[in-house]
Order: sequence, then C-alpha cells, then structure tokens
Amino acid sequence: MKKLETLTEEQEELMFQTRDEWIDLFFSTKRIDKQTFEEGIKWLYEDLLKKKNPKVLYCESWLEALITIHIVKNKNVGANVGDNVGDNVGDNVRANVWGNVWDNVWDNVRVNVGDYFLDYSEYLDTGSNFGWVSFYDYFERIGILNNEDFKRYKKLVKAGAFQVYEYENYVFAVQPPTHILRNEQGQMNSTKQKAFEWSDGYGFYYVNGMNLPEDIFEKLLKKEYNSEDFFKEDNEETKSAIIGFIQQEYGEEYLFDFLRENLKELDTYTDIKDSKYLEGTTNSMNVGVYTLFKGIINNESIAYVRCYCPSTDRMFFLGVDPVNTNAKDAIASLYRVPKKLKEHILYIQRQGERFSTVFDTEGNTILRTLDKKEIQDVVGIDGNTYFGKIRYEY
Amino acid sequence: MNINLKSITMETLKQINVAPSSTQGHFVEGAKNVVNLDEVTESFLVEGKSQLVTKNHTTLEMEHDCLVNCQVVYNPFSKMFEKSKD
Repeated sequence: MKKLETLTEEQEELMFQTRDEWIDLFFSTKRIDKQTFEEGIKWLYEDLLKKKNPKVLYCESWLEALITIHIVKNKNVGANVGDNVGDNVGDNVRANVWGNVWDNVWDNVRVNVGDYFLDYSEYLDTGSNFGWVSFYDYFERIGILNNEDFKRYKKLVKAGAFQVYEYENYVFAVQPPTHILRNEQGQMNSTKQKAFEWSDGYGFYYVNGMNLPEDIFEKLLKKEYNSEDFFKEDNEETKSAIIGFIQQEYGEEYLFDFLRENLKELDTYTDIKDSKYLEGTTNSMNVGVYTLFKGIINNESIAYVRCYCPSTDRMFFLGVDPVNTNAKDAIASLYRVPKKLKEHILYIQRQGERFSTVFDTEGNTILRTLDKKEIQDVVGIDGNTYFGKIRYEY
Repeated sequence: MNINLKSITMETLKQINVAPSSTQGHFVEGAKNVVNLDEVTESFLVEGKSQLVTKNHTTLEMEHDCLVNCQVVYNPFSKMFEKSKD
C-alpha cells in the first residue's frame, strides 16, 4: 500500500463528517441497544479474550454503577465478579489496528487527523472510547484499515453504552444520560438545571463547559450568592463559571452591580499586540485589556485585575496585592521567575495559569544548576518588563 | 471498554502533565525531555521543541527549551500569594 502523505478534499470532508457523527453519538441520549451490546460482549469475551461470556448488568448512572460494583464485589451476595479485564480489551483490539494505520500514514496526517478526534474522549473524564475508535473509524472509511475485530468492536461501542466496566464474570453498563445541555459553542451549559443528568437524578452542573459545584449553583439560582463568597472562592475556573452564570442568567448590569458592591474601577491597561501574536486567540476587543479594581471586604483591602481569556473570551478576576496602583504592574505581578534567572529572560508565553519562559544561553545553563530552594526563590517583574517580553498568550 | 484515552495519548504522543494541580491539566507533547524541577511551585524544565495542550485554551507552540511554571494570585484574606488554581 502506498503511504498516505496528504488528504484529498473529499478525505478532509469525510474527516469532519466522521467526527460529527461520533460527537452526535456521544451526545445521544438513546438507551443502550441491549441485543447488539450483549452480542458484542459475547464476541469480546468468548472470541477475542477467550473467556466465559459474562453476566451483563445495566445501571442508570455512573454513580449507580459504582455502587453496584461495590455491592457485588464486597457484599456477600454469592457473586464472584472477578478481575477487571478492561486493559486486555484495549490491548487486544488496539494492538491489532495500531500498526496498520501507523505504518501507512505519514506522521503529519496522523497528527492532524488525531487533533480532530482525540479530544472527544475527554468529556467528563469518562473512559469513553469514542476518541480513539472514531480516529480509526476514519482510517477505515478511507480504506487504510480493514480489520474484522475493529469492525466488531466499533459495533459494540455504537450499541450506546455511556460507560462500561468489564470484569471476569460481570459487565456493568451505564445507560446514557437523559439530557446533555450545551451552549452555541457546544460546551455543556445550563443555568436552570444540571447540564448533564442521568435518569436517577445523578449529574453535573456546567456553565460554559466548566463544572459548578451544586451548592454554588443553588445559591446563584436563589440570588443568595454574594460578592464576599465570590472573592473567597479560590478556583479561578469556578469563579469564571460563576461570572458566566450571572451574565447568562441575570445580565451584565447585575454582574456589574454584584462586583461594584465591593470594588471600584481604578485603572485600565491595554496591551496592543502585534497581529501575529493574536493568531489562535478570539481576536476579540477584550484581548490584552486589563482593569484594576480595588475595594474593601470585612475591613480588608482587596484588589483584583479583570482580564479575559484570549482563547475563549471568558472573564476572570485575579487577586493582586492591593499595594498595586496600576493595572499594568498589577497583572505583571502574577508572573514569577526564579531570582537567579530574572535578568536572563528572552521571552515569556502563557497558556491559562501556566507560563512558559525562555532564557538566554547563560540563563539556560543556570536553570539546569538550580536546586529546589533556588527554584522556589522566585521574584516578580514590573509591568514594562513583563509586557516587553510577553509573546503568545492563550 | 473503559480505557482512559489519556493513557493512550501518553503512549502515542508522549504527553506529560506539567500542571499537576490543575483540574484539566496542561500537557507537554513532543518534547525531548521534561524534568520536574519542583513540586511546590510546579516548575518544569521542558527541553526541545514542543506543544502545550489543554482543554479550554489554544495550543501553545514552545519552540525552545523553557521553564514552565504556575501563575500566582494574591489572596487578600491570607495576605499571601498562592498558586493560581484552574
């Protein structure tokens, strides 16, 4: 077979079609096709794993599955669950299809196609196989892969179990949720109810794709969540989800009043970036705009910088030392570098809460000699230095 | 069937999480070497051209050897800087 080095227009179109079909399948709330599922399990255990056909138990939610497994395994109900066989399943099918695709596809094609499929197993961190199966499904559709085991396995995955736990003698299959609510960007989102819920009521609250703890969601819904609660929240993603909730449910004016209760706007700095550093951002007018707010809560001075995520335009309020008098220095104060490397910074990049700093040759040498104490001995840099060094921010 | 994709991508794309305290993680892909310098500040030396990948943010191209560490935020109630959580 000739090595595939580029994709034709039709193959590229098929890539998106395949991806969308699998995404739709992931968000499907159709219940498990029990006949197909049990036939698939029988094939998997008897033909592929050379084991006895196990008993299949269906569970209404992930929580029910965990409780059921615990009860069956640990209570004296006369059942022998046996060992988990999950790894074997993956090894048997994946190893079979691995080499074929890997050998016949140029690295670049593989990686580019992978970008479109491998993300989709991340939802809720379940062990969904949709990512890697959809990835190989695409190569099957373009004629690179023709493997009977993969076809049978794909059919089993398509039977619609949300998650499956396989043991020697038992298989526990979780039914799909009854609803998955999403926003226009496809992120799980609801300000009215759980965005993701199973038939037994177990589920999760999400706003703009970010999980909100139930107690915070309930307080927000009853308008009992106040700015003091907000400023005490220590998770920036949760704070951003709270802002998203308020914006969607009550509007910008409510949000402004919510914050104005304790904060006064002091200064704004706009970092005007070269257009090349805006690639990969939303290119929104909010990118690079930093506003310093100050106020008092319980007689304590507080200061926050409002900024926007360049990748998603989500609003963040980051705590800064109230000694700051301008937004530029305030946002720069959240960057830290080992003291011994401060004078060796070539440039800085960032992705969310993580900074990537590149040093000059001497700095690189020093970096490799620092012990833990020296790595922990960090200092900040001023706003002018910071914005003179920063490149891509996502 | 409950194969966690993360273990697969670790195997194929050599992903290393350089944000252990982050809910979603930030993963270095394609680096020659990643050295955990300090668990407290979550500082990592990343050697070789690589990418930083995470959910909710655009992938960051890292062309040169670099130090990856965590943003801090100021907690006005404890009056201390602490690692920013996401």
